[in-house]
Amino acid sequence: MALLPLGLAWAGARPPRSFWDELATGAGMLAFVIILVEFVLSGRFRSISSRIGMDVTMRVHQLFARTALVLALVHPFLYRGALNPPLPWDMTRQATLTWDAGALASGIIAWVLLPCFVLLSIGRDRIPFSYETWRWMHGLGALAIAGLLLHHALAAGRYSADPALAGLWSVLLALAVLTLVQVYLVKPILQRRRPWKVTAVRPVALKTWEVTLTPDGHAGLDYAAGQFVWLNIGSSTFSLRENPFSVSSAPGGGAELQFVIKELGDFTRSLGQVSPGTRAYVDGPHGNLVVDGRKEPGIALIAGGVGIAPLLGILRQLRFEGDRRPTVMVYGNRVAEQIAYREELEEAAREQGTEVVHVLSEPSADWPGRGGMVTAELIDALFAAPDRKDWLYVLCGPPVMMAGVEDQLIALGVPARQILSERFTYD
Amino acid sequence: MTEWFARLAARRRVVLLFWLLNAALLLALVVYALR
Repeated sequence: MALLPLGLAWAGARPPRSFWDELATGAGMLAFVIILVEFVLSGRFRSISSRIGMDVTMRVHQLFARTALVLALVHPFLYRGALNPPLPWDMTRQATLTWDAGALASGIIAWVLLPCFVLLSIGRDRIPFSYETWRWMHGLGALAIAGLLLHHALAAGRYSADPALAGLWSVLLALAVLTLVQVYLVKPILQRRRPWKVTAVRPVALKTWEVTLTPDGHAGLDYAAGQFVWLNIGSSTFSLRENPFSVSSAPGGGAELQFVIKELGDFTRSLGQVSPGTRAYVDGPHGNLVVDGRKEPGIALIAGGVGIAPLLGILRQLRFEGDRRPTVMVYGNRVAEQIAYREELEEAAREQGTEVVHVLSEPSADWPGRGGMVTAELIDALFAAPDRKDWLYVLCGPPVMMAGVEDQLIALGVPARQILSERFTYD
Repeated sequence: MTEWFARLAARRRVVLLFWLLNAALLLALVVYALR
């Protein structure tokens, strides 16, 4: 897809110019096509994210934004041709670059906006805007940049003056617009037909809440344990006040959905005030942190903090299904008060034989369990046995913890395909 | 080589593929400009 514009320009009737002018044009075209493809890599399309995984989708989105930025930034500086009005004898504009101020202005504005846009995205956690404001800025900003680039390509572009390439840009931009229409218009309309009702909000650990939803007039959500949804509580479906949360309940438990939510941002801080009966909407399920159909002889669930939510859903589903495979749950927290569902985990240990390992990084003096972090040494101690090399490992937690655990599991000889992981932040 | 790739952590695989794709894009760009 990324190479299609270059191919069309190559196949066009216009004779090529100097190496540097062609390199500049090619860089500009590649930047534009990558920006347009980025719209479908936003993580909101299940056909993509459920196939390659949400983490991979988001990482590809982030990484290729950098590629587009670099290509766009160097694009104007690679040109060697002179800015000139069209020459009467140069019908294919082989000798000069466009002089038209309007055609250049849209490109210059996009050139200035793009780095600001990427920097605002990379530093999202450090800017003083709410997540909802950032989402508005991200969606509208991307659309504005794409629109400016289309104008610049059509007005200033030499090859984009050809109908085939001009048509391709227009179609790709129309598809990009459609992705936004789908996410911000079609999905909200469909969601209105499938409302949910908050039936309970209760604290389950320090600054951590359990929210229970019941379907209101429909059968509920067809999901697999471990998946997540975009959750909107108390706002219009057209509001951007929705956040991704893992489902901590299991499909085997009925139509109710449960979430374990930690107070972090402005939305989660107000969770305690949400009263039963509040209308809620759910977009999903998303993600592929799913053990359904996996035949490994044992399952290890390794959670950090609120990363317990999807793993709890998986553990619950295994219990519902009467799965007798050995399971280990490693659950890292800072202090004991942050441990959620302690009794339920003890019950799983008693009834299902789940080996539950709590790890506290700042334990009190009377903490009888393990202290420290979920480190390589701990992974070694728990999973170095040769038969555990064949197990399935499911990870959810802070990026640093997951990277360390994943590296150590691979060092122990666990194949990468037996490690499922999902971050809850994208840095 | 295949075994080495299979043993690579998922996040490293993504970054590796990213750089490989970037290299392919750069190569295509240079070939295009040299035509």
